[in-house]
Amino acid sequence: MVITALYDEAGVLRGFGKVTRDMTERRAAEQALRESEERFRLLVQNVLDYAIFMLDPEGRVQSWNAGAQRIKGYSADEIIGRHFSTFYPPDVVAAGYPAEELVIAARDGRVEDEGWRLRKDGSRFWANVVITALYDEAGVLRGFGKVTRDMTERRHAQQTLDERRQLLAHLVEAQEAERRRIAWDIHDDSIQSMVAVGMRLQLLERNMRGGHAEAVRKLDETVRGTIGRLRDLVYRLRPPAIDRETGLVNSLAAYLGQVVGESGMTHALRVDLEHEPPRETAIMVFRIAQEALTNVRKHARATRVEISLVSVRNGLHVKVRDDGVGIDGDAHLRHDHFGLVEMRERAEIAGGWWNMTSAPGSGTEVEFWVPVAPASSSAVSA
Amino acid sequence: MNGRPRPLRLLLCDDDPMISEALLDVFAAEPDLDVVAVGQTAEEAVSLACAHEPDVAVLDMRMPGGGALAAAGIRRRSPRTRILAFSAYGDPSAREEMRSAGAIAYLLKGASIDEVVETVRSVGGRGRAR
Repeated sequence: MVITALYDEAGVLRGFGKVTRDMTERRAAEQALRESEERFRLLVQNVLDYAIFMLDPEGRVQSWNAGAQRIKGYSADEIIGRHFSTFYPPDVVAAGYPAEELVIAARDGRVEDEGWRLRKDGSRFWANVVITALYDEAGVLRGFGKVTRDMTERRHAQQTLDERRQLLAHLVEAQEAERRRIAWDIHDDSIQSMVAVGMRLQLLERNMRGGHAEAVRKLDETVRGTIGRLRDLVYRLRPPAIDRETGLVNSLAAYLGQVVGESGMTHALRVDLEHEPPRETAIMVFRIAQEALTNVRKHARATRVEISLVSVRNGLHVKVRDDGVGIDGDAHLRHDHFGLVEMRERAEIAGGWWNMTSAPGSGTEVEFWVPVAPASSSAVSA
Repeated sequence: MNGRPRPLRLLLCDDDPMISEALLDVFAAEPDLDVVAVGQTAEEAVSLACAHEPDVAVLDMRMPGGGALAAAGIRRRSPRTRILAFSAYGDPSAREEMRSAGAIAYLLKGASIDEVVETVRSVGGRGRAR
């Protein structure tokens, strides 16, 4: 309400002018705005997980919240007014990086970055930083909003995962290299010797008669059987041809066709993969499946074997199932005739699990799951 | 009896002397097969083939330099020589590798000596000789 005294030209008070406006609505709006700003201020002030603060157009700290204090170690009194390059390692400051970030933010509206930042005590943390330029309605740059998150833990977890994957890859490569070396040794040495022995036994047999010739022939048969078994062994030891072109599925299909097909069993391969797993996982899966198939071929007396390969929960779920005689698990687990321990160990080294269910007369199912790391984890690079 | 055809002249190449020596003894028992040279590497295989121009070269696959390289070299430098791969590898890719290098037959180590002898004859174009 406004009341105005009204005088005439001679200076005599002639009356009062009164203008009354209804302010109820405006007062309510102002009250609501104040409450909203208060809520917002409390929110920003008390968030602990993010450092949220303002910089003036030159980069000096203007406000500070609880998250900033927690992450960076400064209290508001200590930091307000200081330049935000205080948070950057000296080499980065020397390179003019903080100033450049403000230039980019002013030009593009915002800039996002990940890198090492300094705490008050000099220790470093891995930060995700977003700087947003704040313009007023007239288009004048009023400052910057800065939101910083401490990603050290996450980065550490990611690195642990990467290291684990690298370790697994090295382990798989080392295992494969060792197997390849053994395969070559068997091929170049044991098989050649047996072949030479076999040829000489056959020459000998030609020059012998009756019972002796028969004995030598049987000896030669044994040698040939051994050559066949060694050749199988070499084939199994040699690394599967898994690369970008061939892939796990093709390699398994080829192996099924060649090795299982030769034995007369029918076979099926059911595949539901989201994408080709990394090489180390593919080799791991191939080797476990190969071991399971070797058991089926040698011991199961099955007429049919089925493999299923399905992407499940960030990993690969594999089943190898036959309709054979089944095995008495307990008896064989004790002796590990069947490479069961090896299969389980392979799956567990890869961070997965392995299981076999079987009962006499009802076939056997080998089942395992191994995790598949995302194709790339380049998100955290400096 | 007609005049006997001249013996097939053979080159043997294998880096394992046990194999070469056994093959030598196997072929020595066959009057129509005559081993004219024995080598141990792909390089030797090619130069011996140049020097002797044998009818048949029996090549190991995994000798130094590789059987495929030897086969290709011999095909170039002694085109009349026919090539028999003698290998311990049974898988199709090995057969294909030797075939595309120019081998016209592939014999798995472990085959009987009768089979070895017959295959050498047939590669040398004497399928039903004797």
